[in-house]
Amino acid sequence: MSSLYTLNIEQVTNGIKNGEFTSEEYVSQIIDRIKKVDQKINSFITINDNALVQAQQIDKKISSGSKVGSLAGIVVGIKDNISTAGLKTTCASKMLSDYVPPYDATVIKRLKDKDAIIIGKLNLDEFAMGSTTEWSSYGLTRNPWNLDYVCGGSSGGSAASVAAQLCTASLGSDTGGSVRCPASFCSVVGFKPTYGLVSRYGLVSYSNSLEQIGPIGRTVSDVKKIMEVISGKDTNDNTTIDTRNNINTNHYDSEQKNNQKIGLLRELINGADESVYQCIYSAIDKFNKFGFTYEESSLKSSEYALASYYTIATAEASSNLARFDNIRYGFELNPDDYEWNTYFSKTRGNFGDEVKRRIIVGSFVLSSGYYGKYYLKAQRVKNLIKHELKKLFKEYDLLISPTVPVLPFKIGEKIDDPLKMYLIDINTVLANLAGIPAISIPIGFKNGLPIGLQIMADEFQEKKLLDISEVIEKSININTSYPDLY
Amino acid sequence: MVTKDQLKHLSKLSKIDLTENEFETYTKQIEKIIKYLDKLDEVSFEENKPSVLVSFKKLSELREDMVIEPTLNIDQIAKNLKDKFVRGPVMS
Repeated sequence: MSSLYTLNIEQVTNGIKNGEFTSEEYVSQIIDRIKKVDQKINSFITINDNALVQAQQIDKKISSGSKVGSLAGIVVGIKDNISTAGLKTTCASKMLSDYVPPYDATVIKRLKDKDAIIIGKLNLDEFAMGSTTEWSSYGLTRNPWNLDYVCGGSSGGSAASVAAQLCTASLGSDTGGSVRCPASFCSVVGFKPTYGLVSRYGLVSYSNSLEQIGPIGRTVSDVKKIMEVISGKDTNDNTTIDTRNNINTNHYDSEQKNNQKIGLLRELINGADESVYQCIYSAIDKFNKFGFTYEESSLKSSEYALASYYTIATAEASSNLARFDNIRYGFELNPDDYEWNTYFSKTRGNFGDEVKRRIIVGSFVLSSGYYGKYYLKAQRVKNLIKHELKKLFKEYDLLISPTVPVLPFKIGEKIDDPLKMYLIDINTVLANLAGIPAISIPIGFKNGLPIGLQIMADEFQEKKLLDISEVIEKSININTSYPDLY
Repeated sequence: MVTKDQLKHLSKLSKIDLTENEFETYTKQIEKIIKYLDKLDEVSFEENKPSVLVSFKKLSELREDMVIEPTLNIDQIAKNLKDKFVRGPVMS
C-alpha cells in the first residue's frame, strides 16, 4: 500500500470503489503524512478529528452495496474562511480564534453530499487579505518547493497542502487572485469561477462583489471534478445563477478544441520579470503544435485595474469587518469596566496589521469628500475593464498572461511594503473586476521556483476554459514529481 | 496627502485602537497606497456611462418570500458563547 497520497481524484474514487484500498487506509495515510510533513510548511490550522470515522462510514456504505457519491473518499482541505459545522473557522484571526460555525457553507454541504471527506482547515492571510500567507495569526505557510520562500496567498495553505500532497484537492477563495497566486507559486492548478457560479453562503465576507470560492488541485481534471459538485444556484446566495441555463448554452463544442484563437495580453506579459516572460514564451512554443492561433492583444485599461481593485476591496472590507466586536465570539477579554465603544476599539485593535490598514484605507476612500475621487471612479474603471474585455472576447476565445509577474520570493522580502505586496496581484485582479473565469496552471520552474500561466475566458465559458487548459497542461507536461518533504 | 490626524479620525470611526507606533508606520504606508490609488484620476472616460454595473439577475429570479423554519439549535450556537451568555460592556 505505497504512496496513496500521490493519487488524483479519479484514482482515489476508483481505487476505493473497486476495493483496491479502503477509504480508511487512504485517510490514515494522509493523516500520517500531515503529521510528518506539515510541521515544515504549516499549511493546516485545524485537522478534522472525525475524518477517519467518516472514512469508515464510506467503507461501510461500499461494502454493504449502497450507492456512494462521485467524490467518495477523496480528502479535501478547506481554506479557514469557509464555514464548517462543528469545525473551528478562524479566518487566521485572533478575532475568531475559537469560533465554531453552527452550519456548513453551501460548498461544504455539496462536497459532503458527494461523500468527500473534509480533512481540515487551511492557513490563509488573516481574513484573506494578503498575497503571501505571511499575515496569519497562526504563523506563515512555507512554499513546499523551497521552504525559505513564500507560498503565495491568500489561499496559501490551500495551495501548499495540495502541492505537498496532504489532501487530494482543496478549496480557496479568490477576491483578487487569492486562489491563482498561491497555485502559481506552488505549481498546482487554481481556478476562479465566473462570479455567481459558486455560492458564497458560509464564506466569511471580505469583498462580496469580487470574491468567489474556487478549487485547487494537482491537475485540471481534478479541478473540473470539484467544480461539477460545488457550482450551481443556491437560494442562500442570491448572486448565484442557474448554471443549467448559462454554462451549457455557450457556442462551443469539444471538436472546436484545436480551433481556438488566443490573445496574448501585451501589457501583462511585458510587465513580467525576465524569467517569467521567457517561461511564458517557451510554454507557448510547446502548445503551438495544437493549432491554436495566437495574436498579441492589448487591454489598455489594465493599467488602472489594481487601483480600482484595492479601492473597491478595501471599501467593502471596511464595511464587512465592522461586525467583529469580540462579543459573541473571539478571544477572552473581560468587558467589565469598559464602555461600549472603548471595548470595541480595544478588541478590534487585535486585528493584524494588514487588516487594520485595509479597514483604514477603505474608510478613507469612502469618506466624505473622497468618495467621488476614489470609490465612484474605481467602480467606473471596473465597468470600463469589463467592457474592454467583452470586446476582446469577441475576437479571442481565451486570453493568456503570467499569473503573477514575479517568481516566488523570500519570506519577509515584501512584508514591510504593502504597496509592493499589492503589485503581485496586478494580473489577477482583472478577472475579479470583470467577474470572468480564470485559471492558473503550472508551466515550469526557474531556479527550482514554480511559474504559472493564467488563462481567462468570457463569463460562463468555464467548459471551454477548462477543456483547453487540459490540452495545454498535457502539451507542457512539466515534471510532476512533487517535493518529498520527509 | 494623508496625515496622522486624518488617520486618528478614521481609526476612531472604524473603532480600531492603534498605538503611536502603528500611527507612525501606517501613515507612511497608507500615504503611499493612496498615492497609488490617485492613478484613478488619470482615467479618461470616453462616454458618460452609469458607474455601477447592472446585475444580470432578473427580479423574477428572486426566491419566494416565505418564512423558513430555523434549522440551527441553540446548543450549536451556544458553543461559541462563554457560559451560554452573551456578555457585553455596559451601555453608558
